[in-house]
Amino acid sequence: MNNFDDSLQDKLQAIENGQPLPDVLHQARQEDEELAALIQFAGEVRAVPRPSISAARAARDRQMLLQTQAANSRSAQARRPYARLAFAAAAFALVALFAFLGISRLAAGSAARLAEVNGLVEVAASNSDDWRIVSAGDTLRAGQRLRTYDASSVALTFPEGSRTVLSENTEISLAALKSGLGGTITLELLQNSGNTSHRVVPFNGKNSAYVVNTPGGQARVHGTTFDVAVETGGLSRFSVTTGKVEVVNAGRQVFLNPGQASLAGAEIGVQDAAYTFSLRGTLQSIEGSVWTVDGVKITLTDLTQITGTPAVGSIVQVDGRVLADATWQADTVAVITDTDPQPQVLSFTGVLESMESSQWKIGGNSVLVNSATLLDPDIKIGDPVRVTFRVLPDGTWLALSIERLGEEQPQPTATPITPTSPAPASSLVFQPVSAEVQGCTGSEFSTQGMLVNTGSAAQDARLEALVIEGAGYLDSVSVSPERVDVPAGGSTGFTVNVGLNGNWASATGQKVTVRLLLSHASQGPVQENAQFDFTIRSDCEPTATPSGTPTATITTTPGATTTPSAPASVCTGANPQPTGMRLAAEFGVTYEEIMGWFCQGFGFGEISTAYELSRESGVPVADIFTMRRSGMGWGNIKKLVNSIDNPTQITGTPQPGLDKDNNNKDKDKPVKPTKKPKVEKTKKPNPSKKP
Amino acid sequence: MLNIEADTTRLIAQAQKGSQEALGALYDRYYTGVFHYLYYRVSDLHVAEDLASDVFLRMVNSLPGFTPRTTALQAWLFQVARNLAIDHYRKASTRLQVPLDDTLPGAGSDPTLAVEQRLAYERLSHALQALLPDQRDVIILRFISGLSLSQTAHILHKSDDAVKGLQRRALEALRSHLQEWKVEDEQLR
Repeated sequence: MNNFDDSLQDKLQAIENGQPLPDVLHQARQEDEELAALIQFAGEVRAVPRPSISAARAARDRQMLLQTQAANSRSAQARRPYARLAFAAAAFALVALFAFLGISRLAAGSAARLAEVNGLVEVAASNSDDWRIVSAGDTLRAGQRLRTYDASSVALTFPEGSRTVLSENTEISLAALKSGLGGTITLELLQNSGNTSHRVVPFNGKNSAYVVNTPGGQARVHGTTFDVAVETGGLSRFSVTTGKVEVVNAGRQVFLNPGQASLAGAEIGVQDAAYTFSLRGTLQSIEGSVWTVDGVKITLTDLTQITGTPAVGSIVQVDGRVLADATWQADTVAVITDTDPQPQVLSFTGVLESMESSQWKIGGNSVLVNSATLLDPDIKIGDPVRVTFRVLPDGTWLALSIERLGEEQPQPTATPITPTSPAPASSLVFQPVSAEVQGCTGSEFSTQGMLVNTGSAAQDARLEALVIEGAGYLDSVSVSPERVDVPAGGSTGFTVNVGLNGNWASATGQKVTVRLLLSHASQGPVQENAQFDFTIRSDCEPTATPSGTPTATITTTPGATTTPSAPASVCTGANPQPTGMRLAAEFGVTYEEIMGWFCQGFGFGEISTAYELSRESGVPVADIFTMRRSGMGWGNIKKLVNSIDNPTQITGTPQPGLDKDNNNKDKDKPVKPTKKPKVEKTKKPNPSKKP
Repeated sequence: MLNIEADTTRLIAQAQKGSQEALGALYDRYYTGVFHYLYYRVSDLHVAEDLASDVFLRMVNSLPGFTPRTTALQAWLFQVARNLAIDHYRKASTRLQVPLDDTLPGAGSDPTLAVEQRLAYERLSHALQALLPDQRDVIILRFISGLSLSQTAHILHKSDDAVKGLQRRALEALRSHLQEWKVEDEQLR
């Protein structure tokens, strides 16, 4: 905090509170002449005459406003008696039609539906700044942008049942939304600011993807519940409630498990996964960067985003992460100004480490558990949990509730789930239940084991990998096979491959643990306790070669991690743009070509449309962009290109000389997010699941 | 003393039920501030009037779903105004033109005063356009629209401390631009 800035504000505030300017100036001169000069200058700016308002214009606008209100009221009243009936009839007709055709997923089309619109929410096309107000029931199509204002929010429901909620002051664009045969879906959002919550249902097929791009990184998921917050400067916080999220920035991947969060940004890359905390309470002390909220010490850093002016006694909301060294690092601190704030709420997440009598250890913290503590049934050591607690006068943390995280799988909000009939019980167990190897340098390690069924037949049991420890060293995790059918009394083998990154070479004394779990089997429940831990311990010496020390059926395979070289920088900045990369791959052209169009001002949605049209019609893509540039609508362009008899091949060559950086006429235009594309690894985790 | 926030909340509730009197009162309370902000943001009287009209149309259209939970209506209106001003720049696709508007009111009948006032508008408008967007916003919101530091921070989505620094830098930059032009003017004479 800058003392000069504080003094300046204090003096300006004094004037705003009615203190005479000469008095304030006199005080300021005694402190600093420059301070007094700025206050004097601020006074001169305040004194500049304001333009008078045209009384006629103001009166006309006022009248129009009142008429609009009256019209809105009449319209609402007229709709009310019939709205439900009309909606029900339309819904019935649609359901009947889709049921008849049997193509409900495809027919849902490439649009998200807006629901629960609160306050002011607006939509615009990707290449337009004509924002219009939306209401519940409207749709958001690929290429469109959506923004919310203060005290506003909106929920998006996607064709396959996933749901995204935008909080206030949030802006996103729907970069891509495509449904394909076999129920595959590609959904890509670009979040420029604000907070979003995502409930992603498990997709069909490996080709399905749900991606959230932010200026700070990319989250890629496949059936999970998570939140994304984009702060000033693009710093992004990804946090996971259920399932698993892969966060990518500048080629580095971090996997977040339930209860974990990570920060990602251009300056910091993507930080290691860490468990989280959330405190809503009274700020009791401020000692440098260490603050105390209701008895809990937190540490602030340069990355901490502060809203308002917290002071001792303020009610604050703090969200942060519990770092490996047990520091509770605050990511955001906000002064709560609600007139009726929620009562004190303190919580954190972590792994349940021990359950000795009334003292439980969770994520390195001891909590007191008594008869009043609400506990999830069957909670066990090793579970990731969320603890809600309060601090007793003697400093003890009393657990109010402990809930297990990650059990719930998000379910579609739009598509009903067909109940499965009960089936005889299977009982799947891993043999062995753990394996451990030692190794060093950036390498790949693998281990094998058996999955044995001691009960009746199990079909479609899924093996999922969770990173328990050492996520910062991980490059990739894969399990093969991902799905198994195991006959009654039978068994099947599996292999786990773990790729470690370059940091592993200096990870002396560290370890990485990946846990295999069994998730839903479509026939036969799966034994809950079945799990398999694969641990890799570092034995790093300066020039050590990875070596395996099998405790089960284990093979270790040393190898180098592949790191693709980054494409050349384009007008969006030094980093490649992921959507540009995707489109280049999709249409078989160079990344530079795609970005050439982008740099000329075409949105990715338009570029995709142009290349698709070109591919369908054979008309050169440059000609299509020329038509678009002339002001033609896409409908007319499509009609025209389809009527051309002798098209030539696609020759998309961007027009030169229109670099956005050199053509930035508007200083207010937000900077396009620049990100590295997701790097394809030789081995990557694949949490794909069928619903 | 009348609690403005509580009174505004009451007016919003009445307007949501269709009270034209309440809606008119909200308009009267906030129109001037929003218009002045927009005028100095876009430096064009007619554009400022059009945008101000648009701000209040958005208000009336979104009133049914508006819940003044953490936000004063005033900050919300300025936020809408700011976005519309940014959109206006993008649509115009040109650097801002600062018209010497013959219709600019406020000069009264004294021609000398009228010229001085017009020069004051013009100088300030030009100098504001030379600032970075956030600096320009903080000067207009704090010293022309008269919003508090916290309200300004809220509208700009920044912390109070960040706006304190921004406020100092904005004042320094604005003063510097105005002084440079003053010297140039004197040299021309």
